[in-house]
Amino acid sequence: MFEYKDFLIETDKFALNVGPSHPATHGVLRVLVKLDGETVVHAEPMIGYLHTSMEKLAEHRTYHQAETITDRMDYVSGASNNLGYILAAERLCGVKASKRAEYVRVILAEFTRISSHLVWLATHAVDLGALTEFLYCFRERELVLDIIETVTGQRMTPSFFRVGGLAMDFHKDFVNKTKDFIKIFPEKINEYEALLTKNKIWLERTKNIGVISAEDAINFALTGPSLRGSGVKYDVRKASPYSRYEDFDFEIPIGEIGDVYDRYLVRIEEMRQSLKIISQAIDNIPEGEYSSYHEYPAYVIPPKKKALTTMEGMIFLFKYGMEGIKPPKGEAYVSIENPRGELGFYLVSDGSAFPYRMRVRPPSFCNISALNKMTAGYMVADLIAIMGSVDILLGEVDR
Amino acid sequence: MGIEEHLGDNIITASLDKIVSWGRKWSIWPATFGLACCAIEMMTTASSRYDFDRLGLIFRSSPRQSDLIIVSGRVSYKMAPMVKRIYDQMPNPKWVIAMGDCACSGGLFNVYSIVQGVDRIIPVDVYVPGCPPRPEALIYGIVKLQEKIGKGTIKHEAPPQIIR
Amino acid sequence: MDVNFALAVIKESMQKKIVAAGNVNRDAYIQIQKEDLLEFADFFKNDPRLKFDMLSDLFAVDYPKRPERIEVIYNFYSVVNNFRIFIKIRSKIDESEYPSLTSFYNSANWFEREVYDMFGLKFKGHPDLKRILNPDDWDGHPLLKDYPLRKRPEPEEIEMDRPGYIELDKI
Repeated sequence: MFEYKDFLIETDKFALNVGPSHPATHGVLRVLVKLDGETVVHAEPMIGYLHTSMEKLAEHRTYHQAETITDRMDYVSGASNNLGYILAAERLCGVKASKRAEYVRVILAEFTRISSHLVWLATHAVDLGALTEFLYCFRERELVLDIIETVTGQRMTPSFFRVGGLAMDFHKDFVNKTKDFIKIFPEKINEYEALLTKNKIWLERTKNIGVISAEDAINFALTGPSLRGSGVKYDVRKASPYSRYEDFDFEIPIGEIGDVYDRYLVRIEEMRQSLKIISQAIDNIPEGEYSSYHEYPAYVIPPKKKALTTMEGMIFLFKYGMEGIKPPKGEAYVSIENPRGELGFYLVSDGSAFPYRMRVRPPSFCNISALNKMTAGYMVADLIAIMGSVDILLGEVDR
Repeated sequence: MGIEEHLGDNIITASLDKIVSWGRKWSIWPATFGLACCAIEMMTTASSRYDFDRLGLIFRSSPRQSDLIIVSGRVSYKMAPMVKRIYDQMPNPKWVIAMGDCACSGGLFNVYSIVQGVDRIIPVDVYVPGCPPRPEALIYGIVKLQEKIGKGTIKHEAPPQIIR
Repeated sequence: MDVNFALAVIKESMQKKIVAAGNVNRDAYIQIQKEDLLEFADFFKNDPRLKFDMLSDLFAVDYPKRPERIEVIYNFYSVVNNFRIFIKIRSKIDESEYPSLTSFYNSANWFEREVYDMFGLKFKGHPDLKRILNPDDWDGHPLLKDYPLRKRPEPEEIEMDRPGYIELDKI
């Protein structure tokens, strides 16, 4: 008689190299996978293929020049990175931005969250075989980028924020375009969900895949949707509000068990919440100055109008451009909620015009470090689903 | 006039070079190879609004089936051997577009870990500057490349060399 | 509960081992000796009043002019209590090894590799201490202040045909 084990195919262990150039690794991630048959035994991410030495470069730039480095770091959510960096620089100087500027910052940061989640959804769905999602998501992403471009003049790398406020006041089309977008976007999110949320194939590929418990997630220092998918209600916007997030009413969506599907649902819901924040902010943008120049003339760039009409304004603008601002000696840490998680900036100043040290607390870096924990025991095809659901961005992992 | 008179209107004569170049020009298949920020703009160019397909460009996931590599982003010293290997894997004739400032010249990142221009390791046909270049800029680069391909020949040519 | 409560708790229990403590720009920090780090980490993680369950960040700063040149900064965060504290340790660059926190926090694994890569500090008890961002055969530790920003090999020097195979036992 035969026994059950006689029908099993004998498997052997072998190594598989994924990346660094692979369509599903979202950039230049390389994963060394040890397989037993088709089951993942060990997956080791190898990073550094996009190492750009941004932390070193920032030491050789003035405070405002270094801002341009930050949005090349997490390049799908540029404004959000600028915000974190500028808040850290502001805390170093002891400057508080004007209310109008903070509202515009919030709107732009939330727009980048939407655009980042759209890129994530597009690529994640393509990895799992849903090409239509890709075309849908990039259609709306263009609308978001148009709005960001209206305000900042750049699509992906705005560098629009300055210490104490913004570079200039926003364009008059901004409000109308945003309101139009708020009208159409909820319908579009339903459209994305109609394709995936109850799709049998999608459920098979994502439910109970890549489960990570809340305890493990915290231990690996996961943040953002990857942590919230596991049911931990931690969001920097609520835990330690910055830039007037306390003014707005929004929910933090959380998942239940921390699988790929939960992380998907969390991000979809986050897009709705972001839209809610934007619609509250756009209606209440306060009148007034776009930068707090009057309160902190030592650190904040004067308005261009002032530089053209008054002598000292022009001298200051010149000095500001040539020398940059010089924050007092000290250290400051600010963390914000990036689309990928908690993005922290630790700035050390030695009193000169250049940051002595800029340390970035990278969310994707921590999130991808838990890949082995998430993938062990699943099939090799699930590896792609799990990698996609963590939503890494190699520019920020490698910095 | 010539051979068309005998064969009627259904036949067009041309030199083989032109026909082949015309075919190559309208069926460029780029490799799916993204590095950094510009890769997102490259994806945007392939997506709904800009639509690469109308120029005959379809992304192929294997370098062995593609004839264009768009180096979209900064190339680090750790990545350089892989870029070179992907380029070597592509069959002839093959073309290279350096997309973005970093791939053209190192751009913003004149630092220890970045190769200052991808043309130091592989020969480049078209440079598209910008940080990142808009999709329109990339499409213009593609059109320029098509012009270049259109002037090509099917004669065996020595593969392009890196100018140091 | 805010961070001053945490600071008070730590001061009460670990008074003798704290070199300095204070607040800088709304964040609390404690400076300690390298030898006491494991004890602190154990206390931070397991004390029911503190519950610092996340090692949020770990990095170093280089001060070439100081006698104790390297300052390593640990960023502990408590998700439950919502407070954050920084631990600072100063040391010379060629001093003995740091204790590794990988036994308490999994996130320490990659952070410590990064500090090793960028500053050359060694961590005792780390399971797999090797370079993480730079290539394995890279020369020097880039984030040290005396490492030039533009020191790089010529592209011709890159070994283009590195073996691509992987040994199964090494994964």
